[in-house]
Amino acid sequence: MSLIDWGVLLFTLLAIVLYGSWKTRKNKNLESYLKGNNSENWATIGLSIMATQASAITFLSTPGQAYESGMGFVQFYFGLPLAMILISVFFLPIYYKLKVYTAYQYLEQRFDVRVRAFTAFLFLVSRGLAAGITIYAPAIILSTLLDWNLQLTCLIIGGLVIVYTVSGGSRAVSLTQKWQMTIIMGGMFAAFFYVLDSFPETVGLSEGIDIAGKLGKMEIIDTTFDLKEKYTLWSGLIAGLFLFLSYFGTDQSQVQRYLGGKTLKASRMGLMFNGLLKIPMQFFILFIGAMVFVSFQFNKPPIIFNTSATNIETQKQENLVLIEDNYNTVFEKKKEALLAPETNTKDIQFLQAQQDSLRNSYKAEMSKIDEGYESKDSDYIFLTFVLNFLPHGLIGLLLAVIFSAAMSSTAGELNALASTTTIDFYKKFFKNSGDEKKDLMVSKLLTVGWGILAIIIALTAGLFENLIQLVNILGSLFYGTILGVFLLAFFFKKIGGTAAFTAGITGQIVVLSCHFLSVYGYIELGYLLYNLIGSGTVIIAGILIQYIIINNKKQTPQNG
Amino acid sequence: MEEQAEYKKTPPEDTTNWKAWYWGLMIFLAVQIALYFYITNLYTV
Repeated sequence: MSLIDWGVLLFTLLAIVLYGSWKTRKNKNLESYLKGNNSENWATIGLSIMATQASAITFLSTPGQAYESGMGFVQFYFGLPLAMILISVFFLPIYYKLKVYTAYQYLEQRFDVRVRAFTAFLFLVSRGLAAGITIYAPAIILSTLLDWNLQLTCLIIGGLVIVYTVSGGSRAVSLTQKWQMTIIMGGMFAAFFYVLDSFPETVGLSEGIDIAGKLGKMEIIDTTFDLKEKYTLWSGLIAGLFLFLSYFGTDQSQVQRYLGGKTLKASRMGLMFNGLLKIPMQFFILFIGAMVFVSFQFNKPPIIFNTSATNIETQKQENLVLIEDNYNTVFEKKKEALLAPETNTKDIQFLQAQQDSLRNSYKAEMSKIDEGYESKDSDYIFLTFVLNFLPHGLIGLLLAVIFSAAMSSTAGELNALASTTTIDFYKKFFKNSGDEKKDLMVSKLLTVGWGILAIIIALTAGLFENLIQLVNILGSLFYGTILGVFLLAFFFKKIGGTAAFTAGITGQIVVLSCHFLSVYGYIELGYLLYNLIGSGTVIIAGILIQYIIINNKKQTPQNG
Repeated sequence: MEEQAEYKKTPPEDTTNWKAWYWGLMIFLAVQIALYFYITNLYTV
């Protein structure tokens, strides 16, 4: 990294932090701190919703995913616009009417305090752990590729977020997210043009798409109905709908974003904005990955992208050198074949299969030498391209993109964790003094507390081998149950608090059982389905408990 | 004066045609899926 990259990176990050802190320095009460005095317009809400969802790993992993497996991942988002419509119709008007700070407050009004505390607790567990990984995941990749200190990287990301989230609260989060999202998209567009620029002169965008298509990277839709497959048209539309309904409708980190809207209309427009732009945005990021793949057909890629993650001296290992030589030979042959107009597609596909096989053999050999070697290197692909092909200055901007994405998600999470702890636990169970200044101070201290916990989780994440994988499915483990309780509240008016609470616990037990049966190989289930199973179980159990057990008990003394 | 202050507090009536927005969003989703389906068929290996 050159001095100019450092300049761009530091200037961008500091400008955002100072802007967020300065613009929101006048927070004097809990309402302005947690809801930003309901002053946000639809564009800020829309960008803020998108920025909270898109973490740094989205921009590091997604292009790598397209590079490795094509663009099918976009199907994961097909349920999102439908979820936006349902939230806009059913969830939003109720939240606005009741003037709630957190989504879980509504559940106390509808059911009872147990249901509110139960769902708020599930949220705190899942989001509390996720906040640490939101910091750790990009930090490990940045520190590996750039040889930065991992602990220091985690501390910088976490520390910067704490500064403006504590000082400015929800409004600072939304305002900074608006600028972070602008920088993110500007950086990604710039990267896209440099990817195209790295193609040979005879290869343009349409030829690039053609090459990606011939090599299987443009297969987007999978219509097979297979429960084991994570990304198909059906899993995206059905299970994805439940996941996004739960995430955007009941996860406080999202609910808090649109509850800060000026009016119900502004909040609805923010959701529509997200519904319209999210799929095209994900498609674009995946498309960048497919084009990086094309670029690496002509510019020799490293055989693995995370060499710096291991201490193996690859040049001293005979087997590795041999495989790499063969890999380079196949690369040159394929490059010639792609540039020759008369080459048969099947020949190119054969050479690609050979190249993939050599890459896998190399990884297997690396794992034999170093058992701790992480063979999944797709998260490193995009950043490798950025560091090798982008001009100085733009490298700094792309690193600012990754930091901004990490900070925007973490800020949304810390803000929501502090709000939920303040409103649903501190003010509810411990102290409701009515002293605004004291409540504001408690909320700020809780934000610092959650921030420090997130940094501690990030600093110790490396000790737990499968933590990232665990946190990826953690949302799905709890979202189904929370959504099920909310659906009972909205659509089943005769279900009471006891039935909802018992059904919630039942649903959670069923989802956790499914997960452990899946982990130990007794059943095969894609994790997206946990959302469907969780909410389905809660609804069925809620109805059965209410009508068969509770209503019968009530009738028994009358009958007798 | 009080009446005026009260008037200012009342949010303007929402005249947005939300049904049109929802249908538009669903149609946009269908168009995207159709486009992706077309691309997939064009390049099925």
